[in-house]
Amino acid sequence: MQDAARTWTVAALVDGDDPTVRTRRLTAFEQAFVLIVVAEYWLRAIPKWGLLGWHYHVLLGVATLAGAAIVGVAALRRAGFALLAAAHVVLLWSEFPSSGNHAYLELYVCLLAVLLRRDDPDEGLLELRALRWLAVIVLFFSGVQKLAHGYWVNGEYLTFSLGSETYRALLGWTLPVDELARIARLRGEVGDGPYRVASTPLLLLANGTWLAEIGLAPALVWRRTRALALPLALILLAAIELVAREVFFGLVFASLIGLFARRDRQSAARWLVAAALLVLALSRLGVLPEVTYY
Amino acid sequence: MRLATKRRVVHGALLLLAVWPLAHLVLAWRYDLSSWKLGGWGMYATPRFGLVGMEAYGRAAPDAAWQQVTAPSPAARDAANLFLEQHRWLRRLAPASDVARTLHADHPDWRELRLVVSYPVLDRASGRVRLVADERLVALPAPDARP
Repeated sequence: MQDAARTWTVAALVDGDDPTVRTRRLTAFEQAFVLIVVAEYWLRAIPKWGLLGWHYHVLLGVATLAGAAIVGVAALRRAGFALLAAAHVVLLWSEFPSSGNHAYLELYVCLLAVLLRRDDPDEGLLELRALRWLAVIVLFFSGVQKLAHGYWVNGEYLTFSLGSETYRALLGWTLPVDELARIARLRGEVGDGPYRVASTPLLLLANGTWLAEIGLAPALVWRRTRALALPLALILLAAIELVAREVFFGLVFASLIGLFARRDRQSAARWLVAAALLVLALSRLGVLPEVTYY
Repeated sequence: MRLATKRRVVHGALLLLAVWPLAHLVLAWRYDLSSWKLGGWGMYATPRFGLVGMEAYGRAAPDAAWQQVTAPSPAARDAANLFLEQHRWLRRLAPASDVARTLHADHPDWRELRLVVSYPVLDRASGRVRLVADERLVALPAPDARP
């Protein structure tokens, strides 16, 4: 109540949590986040270990040290995040413009942690607010971009993607067998097509995706719909990740969306994240069966 | 830093992050910038293709015939590869200055350079993959004008 009275602004629209557990959940969120980012540095490196430039090895070392500092020593939290942010800036610069969007998202989270003290009530609230807005912005504009570029309105994007085995295995049911066979024969080369089908399930799926993204974003902001929007947004993300397999982005984004819960879900979720990363690591090391992820 | 200042920084940054995807869309329409990169959150908004090809031509005078580059030097090849990788995402915003400079070093007599980058897109009107060309004319300085 005191929080709301202090900062009733547009930015405060996403407020609404249990302030007594805020520091604990922000701590758990940050620990899960750091695990994801450091694991990402390592798991991306493993398949191309011998081909990496010296600068990536330096970044790997810096990120690992920063991660250990953040998770292990509370007093080094902001310094650790500053190091991690610096490593990300170098990575984005050296790979520009081909870095994935998740790298930018991770950088923003790092910078917030550098700027704000999570154990201060006011700054903790500001950090939680900013993290929630980040989730809203990403979700909303993911839908807007799909709508604006137009490849989802008539289903061309999904039809084109059904040319890949991964998409066919999961979404092949949206097309009649003969249409699916036709799309599978195309190679995405110049002149190939048309990547357009008359399939109601595919059109519903395509348009439902961007509509859900655009609709769930304000539904997360509005407190009356937040409790329903939260699980729906997580389900939508899980469904997208089933085909996209961008697990690092998926884990970071799911962690951000999870912050819309009123209570502390992060303390438990952190262990789920750690377990998921362990499975991914064991898969990449060949201990578990190979799983494709990016 | 005071709390009020931090609040202004955070709120200002969030505002910028909320406006950037709109600017990203404008750049995509104007320059064919890829939806996939640069933090516009347009992952999966457009089909992604890997194939990008380039042809380079040069000539020593405005009325001379264009000569195609068929055997680029290693430096020009490296610059072209880097340019094409950037072009895959930045499209018409990809800077061609390094390619131009290395090609000019290989052909000091050239005064004009023509770069034609071809890349596939999924045409929404026909639903078919078609080739798009980004053609650029680059004026090259005379030897005595070069530093």
